[in-house]
Amino acid sequence: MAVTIERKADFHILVFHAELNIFSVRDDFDSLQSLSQEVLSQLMVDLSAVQDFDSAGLQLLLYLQQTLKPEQPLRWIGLENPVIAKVLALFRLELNAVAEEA
Amino acid sequence: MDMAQAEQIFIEEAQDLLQVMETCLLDIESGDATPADHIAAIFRAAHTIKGSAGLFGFNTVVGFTHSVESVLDKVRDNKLQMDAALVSLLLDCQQHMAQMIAALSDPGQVVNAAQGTALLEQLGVYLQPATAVAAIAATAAQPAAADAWRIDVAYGVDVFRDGMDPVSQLSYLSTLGTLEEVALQHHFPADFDPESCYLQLQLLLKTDASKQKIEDVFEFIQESSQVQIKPPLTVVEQLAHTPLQPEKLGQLLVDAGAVTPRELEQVLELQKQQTHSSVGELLVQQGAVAPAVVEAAVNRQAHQEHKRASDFQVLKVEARKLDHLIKLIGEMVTAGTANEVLISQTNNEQLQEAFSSITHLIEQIRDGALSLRMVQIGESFSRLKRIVRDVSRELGKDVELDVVGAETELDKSMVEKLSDPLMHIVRNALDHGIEPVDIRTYRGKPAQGRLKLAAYHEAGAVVIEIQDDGAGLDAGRIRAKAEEKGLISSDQSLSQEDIYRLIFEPGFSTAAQVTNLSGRGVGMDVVKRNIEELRGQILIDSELGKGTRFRIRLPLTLAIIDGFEVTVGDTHLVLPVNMIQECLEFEQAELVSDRNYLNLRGDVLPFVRLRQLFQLSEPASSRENIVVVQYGRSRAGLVVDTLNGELQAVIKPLAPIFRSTHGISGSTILGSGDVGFILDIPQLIEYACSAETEHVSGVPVQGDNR
Repeated sequence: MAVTIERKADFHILVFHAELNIFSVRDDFDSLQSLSQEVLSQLMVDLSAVQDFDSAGLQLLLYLQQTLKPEQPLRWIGLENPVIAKVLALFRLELNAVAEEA
Repeated sequence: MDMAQAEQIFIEEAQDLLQVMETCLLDIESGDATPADHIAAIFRAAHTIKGSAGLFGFNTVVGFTHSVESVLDKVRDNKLQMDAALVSLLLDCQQHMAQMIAALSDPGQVVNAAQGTALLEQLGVYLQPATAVAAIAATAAQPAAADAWRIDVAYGVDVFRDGMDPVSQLSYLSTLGTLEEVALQHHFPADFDPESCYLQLQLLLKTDASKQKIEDVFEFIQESSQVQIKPPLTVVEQLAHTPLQPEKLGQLLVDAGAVTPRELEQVLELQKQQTHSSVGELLVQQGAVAPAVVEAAVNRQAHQEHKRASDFQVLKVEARKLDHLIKLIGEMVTAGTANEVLISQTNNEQLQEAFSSITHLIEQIRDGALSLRMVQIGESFSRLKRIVRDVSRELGKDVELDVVGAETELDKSMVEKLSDPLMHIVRNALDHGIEPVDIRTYRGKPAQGRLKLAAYHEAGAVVIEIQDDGAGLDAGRIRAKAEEKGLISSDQSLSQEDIYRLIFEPGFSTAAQVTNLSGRGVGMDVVKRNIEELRGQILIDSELGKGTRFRIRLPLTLAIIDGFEVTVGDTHLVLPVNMIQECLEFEQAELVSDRNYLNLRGDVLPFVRLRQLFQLSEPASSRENIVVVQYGRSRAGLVVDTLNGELQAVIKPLAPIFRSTHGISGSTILGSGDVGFILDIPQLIEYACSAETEHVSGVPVQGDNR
């Protein structure tokens, strides 16, 4: 299932589901193309449901940070998810680091 | 030792060193070696010549060689690149130095002073500081880390689609050691495709794993991505402990774990296009290794060469002393055989056994002594390389020389005597064989001609082949020329091979143009005579339009052979054992009328009755034998009376009275004290085969003694 957007209070939550990998990035990317400026201004990204995360998934997150919202750091949820944490640790990427790099 | 002797030693050493210099430069020029492979040896040669010449006050040699050495020093320090122009200049300098050295021992030898001045001017250009090129330094990319492997990966766009995941690679690398640094970079294009990979990874990995093991992690992305794995500088330490066996820089780096076989293979492939770049330079250029590591490997190599010099000490012995030793051993062999005969008559078994061990030792001493005179034929081939280079340039032809079997050994005296015949055949091949580029192109041949020099052992003989892919011999033209010169009559029947052999007739030449190289109608007869004087044989294969091959067959040595003694009446004859196929009883009754051939298990075997050939008056014995001999692809039978068995025959030159006798190549003293004549098997086989032609055509055979 591709990424979904949920609204919670003033925020839009971008929720990635079980797969964030080479098999899902095409659909995820297509969904991201339709995000409006309003959504982007109050965006949070939830990775807590991700079970399969690979370099293609990581690249999409980096792209998301750099291209869709370059002016300020994204806010991340679920970074403690071991699947996500392991990959970020391998690449020595931290939340701030992801934000800063963009 | 007086001064004259010392000077002679200097001259000989200088000539040897110039030979080394020439061989190395030619190897570099032909792409068989890189400058890095040979620069140390070339520099050492120039340096030694300059130093030794200074001791004797040969100031002209010192002055000239100093400039050569200075240029070589710059190449050695990577301040100057040895390109084609410089190699060519250095070859000219080498030739000039050879002239200067030759003039020291032969005052009649003229040194071209103007040429020397011109060469010094050209060398001066290279000695200007502005020309310095630091090849390796210029191509140095990311520096290597002190104790960690630096890994740079620029992933190809299809990596994800190919099912590869950098996460897995990083995860595996982390199990090999400690990832000191990990830097992920990305370059997203405007038309970002989420399934394409835009990542780059820079890592510092501290591990004891080999480069091969690290490279294996990226095995499946090697084609699609750029992966550079630079070893830590600690590999320099490993290099110092790498065993000394490998001689090539690349292999040394592979053995030290600094380079993988795949990287070396890639670079060697690349070197085929960039022939003037060394393996070290290309490895640095490709990011496979740091300049400091290459430098350490080069130093290690230099150390290895230095070490080799002391490992393989060479003792120079005057040829005169060696010849005397061989002569004494020859006498010992003869005396030994005489004693063996006497001892066999005593019927004392114990004495016979004791003497047989002495005989065995004598054989070993004989072989050992003869091996002292054996030298590799490559020495002669190296001289030919220079001739091919110079002559092909002079003629404006592009010729590639292919040398095979340079390590084949031959008696030194033979190598020396072969030098001129080989040179003549090669010059002929270049001048008349290989066509000019425009004609080759017109005939659909590659523009570059090929000349192959090959040497190998075949049935107790050494074969030397000189083969070109030129125009080939035109049998029609050769025949017409021979008729015109009155060498043959117009109705004479000749095989293709016989026609080719006409080129060995004195004064024969079909060359349309006489050049300063060949075509004057002198030479090929001398070539054949020189080869025959060495108890050799020269054969020609040729195909019109395709090329020509000269095959020279030579005995391994000129001194002592393993022989087989036979007798015809009271005359003792010796055959070289390695040419004997078998011995049979000669059945007169089975012969076809009066023809000199018999049916040997279904094959026609021509034979010669030695009694008739040598006009021996004794009547034939009741029982005769036939010895089947083979030389090259031909064979024949020799009819003799008795077979006496094997012996070691010390070859003595024939007395002048016998020199015109065909079928005999030398003589020897037998154990009984009698003189034995050594049979010239190739000539006898040729005679036996031609005798049948004579029988059919009625034309007398050359070489018939009757």
